[in-house]
Amino acid sequence: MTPPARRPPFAVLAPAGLGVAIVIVPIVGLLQRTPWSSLLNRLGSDTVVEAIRVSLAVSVVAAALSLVLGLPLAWLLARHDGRLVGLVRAAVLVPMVLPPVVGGTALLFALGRRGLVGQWLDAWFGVTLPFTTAGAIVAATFVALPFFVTTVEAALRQAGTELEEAAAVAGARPVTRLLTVTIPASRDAIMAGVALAWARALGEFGATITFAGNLAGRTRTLPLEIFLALESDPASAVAVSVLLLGVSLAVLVALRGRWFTR
Amino acid sequence: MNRRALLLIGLVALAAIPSLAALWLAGPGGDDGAVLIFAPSSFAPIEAELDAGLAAEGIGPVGWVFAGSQSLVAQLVDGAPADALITADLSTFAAAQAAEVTWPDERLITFNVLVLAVADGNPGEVTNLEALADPDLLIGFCAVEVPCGRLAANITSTLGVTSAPDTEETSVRALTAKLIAGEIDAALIYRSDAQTTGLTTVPVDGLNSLTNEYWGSGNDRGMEILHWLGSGAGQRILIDSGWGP
Amino acid sequence: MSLRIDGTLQRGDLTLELDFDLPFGITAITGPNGAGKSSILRLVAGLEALDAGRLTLDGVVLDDRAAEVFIPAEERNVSIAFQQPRLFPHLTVLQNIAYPLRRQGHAPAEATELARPFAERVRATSLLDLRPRRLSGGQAQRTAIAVAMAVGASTILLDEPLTSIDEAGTADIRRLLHQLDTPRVVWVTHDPADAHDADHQIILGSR
Repeated sequence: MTPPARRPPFAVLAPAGLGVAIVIVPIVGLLQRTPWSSLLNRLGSDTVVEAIRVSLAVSVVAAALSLVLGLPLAWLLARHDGRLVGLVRAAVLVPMVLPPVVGGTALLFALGRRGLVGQWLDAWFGVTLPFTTAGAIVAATFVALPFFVTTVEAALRQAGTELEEAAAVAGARPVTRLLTVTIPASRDAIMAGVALAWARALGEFGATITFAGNLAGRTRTLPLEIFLALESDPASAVAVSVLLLGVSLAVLVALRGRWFTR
Repeated sequence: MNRRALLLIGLVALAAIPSLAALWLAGPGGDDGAVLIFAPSSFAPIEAELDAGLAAEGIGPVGWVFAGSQSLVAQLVDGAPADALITADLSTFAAAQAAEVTWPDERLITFNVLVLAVADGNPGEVTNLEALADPDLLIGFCAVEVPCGRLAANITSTLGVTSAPDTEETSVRALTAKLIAGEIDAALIYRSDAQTTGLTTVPVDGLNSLTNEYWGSGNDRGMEILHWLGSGAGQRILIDSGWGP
Repeated sequence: MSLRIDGTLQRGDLTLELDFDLPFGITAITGPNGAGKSSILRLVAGLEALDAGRLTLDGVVLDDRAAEVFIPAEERNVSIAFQQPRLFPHLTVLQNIAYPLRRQGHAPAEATELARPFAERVRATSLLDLRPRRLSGGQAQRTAIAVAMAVGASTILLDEPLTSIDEAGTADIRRLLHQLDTPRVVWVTHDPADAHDADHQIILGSR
């Protein structure tokens, strides 16, 4: 038998409690300032509905792009080793630790009208990304992709090559193995990666406002709406914040099988 | 001293170090004697000139807190310590007064006008305000929630000009940065921002018919700075950088 | 016609010098742990490559580094049952057995029909709609052997197929393995009786 449980020592409880407080207190503060009685009216206002529409379009497309681009990338990273792979992994993870405004600035100077790549997009195809919904999607994908790649790469690594070997001996070529075995067997991790990428894309602010600008109905997503509303109508800013808080919690609950236990 | 006490002291010290570091890094928020002025971000580019001018007369030292006018008011409402507040337009100043975060003493400091600024080399061949409605050009505005955007909206409606913005930036600094990067063709920005950043402007009649008045209020220490800004030395710096007449 | 290995395989600081034929019939490979028994199977299956030398199957060179020849696993006429059964968790028992048949170009419905006789051979007909995580060790290994048979290769490799199974279930599978109609069976085992019953024996030493 294990000995009876004892209260953890104070020297552990105190800092742990402070750690919880630093996360919980701001959320309580937000909820305490929430205009509950007018919440639905504020969320139903034209500007907010418009921002919800833009946010949904941008975040869903960014999550889909993260899936389509991130899955092959995660597989390559999980199944190969070496200095080049290490460099690629580091590069892909950079947006996770980079201040988003730096990401937005980098995107502007790469894909902007006068940017490294952007000038050719403009000259050859007449495409300018800044100030378009497509630009907002690029910014959101930039910050969301690493979340998908890390989640799925870890799962693929953990799953190992055993099933892929079995599929190979059964006559499956590499792409077939990926489609019929690796992906279906890692479905849970892939869904979790999509959910994380979507949540990150939905919350994206710094890179979007720096790279894609801010125009209602085109690039003004919910976080930008919050930022603007803080200047003129703080109660609405709080209302939209509570909406995003709710969505974030919903994502966490949906992922609880992965993170709440074990 | 027993081991447990040592551990506790160690933990307290560990917690205290980052807290003290944070207080120190928070800068002029500390009680180091600096006069704390909350000023609109359009003043940020001339901080060094202002500091030099103040130092020459033995006033200060001054700690500047730059942000959008509305954010400054919001910070004061939330209890930020300050010795004076300057806003970039009258309606924000009125809001600050309504929120009771101003002091009894107040004064007009300067005013700012908008100019039609274009990207380097004027790639959109902008010659007048009609360009603001040209769908083929990339046009930037300040969002109407911030002072420069309110002024731009007043001007365009007064002059009967239509506009089709591609972005509504949340501060005049962000708008100016996109012009400098060449990502937009034209924008209405403050003359002070155009002048301090060396942007090309297109002369347009009537743009200076409306102005944003910069009002300030402060305690005794704060008013000393505000009066200096309104004096000959302060005005010279402001006028040289695009404010005023 | 034969399966011939003549070369070396480097595993960490252990160098395996390999030089033998795997003829038709059942060949048992025995030897102490770490002697490289599993590695030989992985070599033949195409999951590992020789560091030097050559591997030929029925006159076809499968692996020869010097000649830059390496036929990948999916193109070899070889199948394998691993020590721990490797079934696809998202597929049912029947779908697992149909998997190699799908890869041979059969349509889904056709592959499923073709898979049933293999399921009957390993007495898995009551398990067809179960997912692998619901199977016991013996049931899983029987399914894996059915999958290996469904590949239709002329060589089946068995990597200690009885170790993951309770003693009670082994007799059943042992009988099944001795009755495989595949021309060439290579059976890695540490059971002297199984080795004795095989047509040929290879004993690896730990060098």
